[in-house]
Amino acid sequence: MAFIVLKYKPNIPMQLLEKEDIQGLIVRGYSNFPEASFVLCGITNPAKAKKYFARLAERITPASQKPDKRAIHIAFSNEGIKLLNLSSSAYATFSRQFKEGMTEKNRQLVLGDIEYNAPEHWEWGGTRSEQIHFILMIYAKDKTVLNLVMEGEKNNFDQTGIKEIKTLDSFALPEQKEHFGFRDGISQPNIEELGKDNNAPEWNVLPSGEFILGYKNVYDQYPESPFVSRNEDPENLLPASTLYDKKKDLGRNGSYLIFRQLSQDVHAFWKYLMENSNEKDDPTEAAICLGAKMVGRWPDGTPLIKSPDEPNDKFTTDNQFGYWKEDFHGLKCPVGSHIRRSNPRDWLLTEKTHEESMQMIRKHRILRRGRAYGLPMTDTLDPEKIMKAENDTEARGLHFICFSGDIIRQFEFIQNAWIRFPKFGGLYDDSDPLIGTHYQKNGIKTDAFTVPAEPVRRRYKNLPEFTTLRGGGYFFFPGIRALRYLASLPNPS
Amino acid sequence: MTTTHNGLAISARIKEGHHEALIKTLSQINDQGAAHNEIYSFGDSKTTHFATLAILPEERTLSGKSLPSRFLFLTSYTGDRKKHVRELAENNPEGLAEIFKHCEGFPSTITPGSIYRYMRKYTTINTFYTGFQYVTYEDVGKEYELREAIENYLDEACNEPGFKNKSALEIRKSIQDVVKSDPGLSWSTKPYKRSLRSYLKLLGPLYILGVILGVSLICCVLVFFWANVFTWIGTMIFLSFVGILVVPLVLLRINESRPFESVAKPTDKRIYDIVSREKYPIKNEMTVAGPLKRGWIRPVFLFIILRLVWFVRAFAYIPTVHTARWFQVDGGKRIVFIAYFDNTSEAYAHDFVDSDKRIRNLNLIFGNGHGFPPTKWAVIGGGRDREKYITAVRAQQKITNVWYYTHCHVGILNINNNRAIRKGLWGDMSENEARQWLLLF
Repeated sequence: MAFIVLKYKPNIPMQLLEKEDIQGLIVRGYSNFPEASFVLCGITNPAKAKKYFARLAERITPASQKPDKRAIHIAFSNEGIKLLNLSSSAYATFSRQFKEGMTEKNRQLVLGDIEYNAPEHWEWGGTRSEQIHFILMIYAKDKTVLNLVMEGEKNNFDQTGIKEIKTLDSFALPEQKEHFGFRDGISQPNIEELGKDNNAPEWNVLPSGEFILGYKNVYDQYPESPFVSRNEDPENLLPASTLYDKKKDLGRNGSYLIFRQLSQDVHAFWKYLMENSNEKDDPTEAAICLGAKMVGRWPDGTPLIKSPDEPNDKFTTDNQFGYWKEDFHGLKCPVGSHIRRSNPRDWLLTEKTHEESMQMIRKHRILRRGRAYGLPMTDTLDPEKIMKAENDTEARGLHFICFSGDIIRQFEFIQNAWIRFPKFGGLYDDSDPLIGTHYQKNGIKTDAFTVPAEPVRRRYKNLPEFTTLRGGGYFFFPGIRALRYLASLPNPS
Repeated sequence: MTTTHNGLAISARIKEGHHEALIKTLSQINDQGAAHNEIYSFGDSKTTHFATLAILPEERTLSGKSLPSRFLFLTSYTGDRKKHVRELAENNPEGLAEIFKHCEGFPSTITPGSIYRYMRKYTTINTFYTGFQYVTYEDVGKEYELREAIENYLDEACNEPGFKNKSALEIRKSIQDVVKSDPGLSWSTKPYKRSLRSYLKLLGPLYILGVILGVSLICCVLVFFWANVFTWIGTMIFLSFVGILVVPLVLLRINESRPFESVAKPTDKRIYDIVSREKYPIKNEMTVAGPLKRGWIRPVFLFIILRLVWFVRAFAYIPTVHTARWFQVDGGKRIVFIAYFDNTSEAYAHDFVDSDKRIRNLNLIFGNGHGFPPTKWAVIGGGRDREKYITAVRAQQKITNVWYYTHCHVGILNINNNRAIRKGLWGDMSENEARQWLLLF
């Protein structure tokens, strides 16, 4: 179906990506590497740690390689960058959101990180947690390789002034599902310069500058990128800034990485669905139907827009659909469903046409690289089996990871205006049914879920917390040259 | 009674040496809450939707002329302006005196009458936009309650056997019965009707202008065949109108060729100071004010544009905005923009630059402000430079001393949806119309 026309794509000349300098995680999600670990680290001795980073730069997996055994990446928190002795004038050029951090008080309101999701309750990265200075991200083809790489890196830690604070394990669940039992990661924006998916709808193809600093973005402008003055780069490690004369671009080929650990209460999710769905005679079927309405897809990935009444094998990875013409009122896929909130595609009730909606939405996309953690409730992640399974104490959830060139315009906008905001799409008391913060306070309610239907809608109230934020942070994901530069910074005398 | 939604804008210079004292007074109101405080409680007003009390600092134009420190007292209200001002003055004249005594021209005698006359005297023209027309303060609350009552009924009714098999008209009838049986909702049993007076108040000036322009255009054609005093006068009117638009536009184009003068990028701390005040989960406020770009044509052009926008304001559309207004102060040399909107200013600012159509509209007005990206022919370019636009908004944004809002839990789409529910509750409907109406829930 010719769904989107080319006019939404600005006429931006193709840019050549410096793939050998870009950390590979930006361009590929490593679906061939089911195992991954994220090591949250503190720096105890910056001088020694920089030597480690200099050696690590040689092991970082660049985007130019497609590894078959393992990949290693690194990202720094604002506190970590400060410890490396970057000049204050250079540090000031990082984005305000990165410098203030995810847990800044006002940002908690913006992101909806309040009540049970407030950073004071987090296990890491929160207001009461030990400071994270960098995160080492290791992906491997199997557990043996992962353990080997992890061991190699961790063995260096003590001698190099690095302290492991916490390690977050992760592995791919079967059939690309997440713990609730729904197929995940189907809809991703395509980076125009990579040009590998010819079937991608035009609205879903974005210039690299949306996700990689140093390249033009959707406004045909270079995004703000951290820089240093020329004399701060005596070894000429960094490229010239595209935005500022006589400056060197510290951000080029890097990005901002957003990490949020979301624990999933699978038992509570399906319990709520079973207790509150009565649309069908079979309670299991009814629960799955309501779950699909909350997600926007059937467990196998079939979008409700394509097949509202039952899953359909033909559409399990389908991403070629919109909402404006197909389902304006949300009768197939509820306005408040998770996929419609996180990417409204061509439908914003505040706009007058689907073209205007698309113009708006294209400016607010992120590149997701999330991974599940914890053992699934059942081996197959079949919802019927999950419903029958006994509750357990296993910690499980999602390591939500995404890249954006502009944290406030992309990640924070989506989280704030679409996921959190209870008035999204003309709703009243609903936030995202899966990842929204559900509460009632001072006349504000965010714990409802509305399913438009004929003759009348169904409203589900008092949604409990199906996901809870356990940790998170904003990180700078440097280009490889920038990593070498950071490692080469002189130590304070 | 008229229910037209309008904006009151009072602008007065702050007396020499009173700046700090006024800040202190406003801080006290802000700290205690604008709705109810010891100085002036906006919550006592039954006509006010929103209010802003802000101090514009002393600034300089690009040519170095001083723009004095100024106090702004702004409200958005429904109904008759005189009645609204009288209500504000009579509710607490002493409280208003505590505020206005720091401004030039304030009378020595404090009575509701003297306050009323002072406020009227210092009222300035503003081009006002609202996202909800003909909805009073009282309506917002009552229509919200009406919708809640129906929603609660539907929550229960959905579980009744056979309910889903009813026709849309039958369900609507059952909703009508529920509303009728609730004495608290008796006000809603009368079909909603907008008064003709309100309609004419909003659109009358546009119709008059349209008639004058239409007739003068006809005269302009007729003068070639039937020249007389009448057709010549009509022709002159039409040509004057064209001249008022074209001449300033050409002069503006000449002005646009001047080198762009950027505005200093605000510091992270400054931006934080602004956004950290946006702590309300549903709606927030922003005040943007600053001098215009260099050149005498800028205030003239902006004056004309703001008048034209005023005529067509009923047809304007700004998503997520409850109300917004633009006006000029200090002899037109400074532009002021105040808006109340859903969610945060960052999301709101993007409503303008993320849509090609709105960028053009934005350029017409904001393109005249210092620091806003350069335009061509008033509408081309400008906000397309997103970085410069956002920088200019934040650089010219002021920290609002006090702002007041009503119905904290109701978003702009909710207000309009609630009105649509009320409008569709009574009167004849086809089955299909009833189906559409039920989709409002």
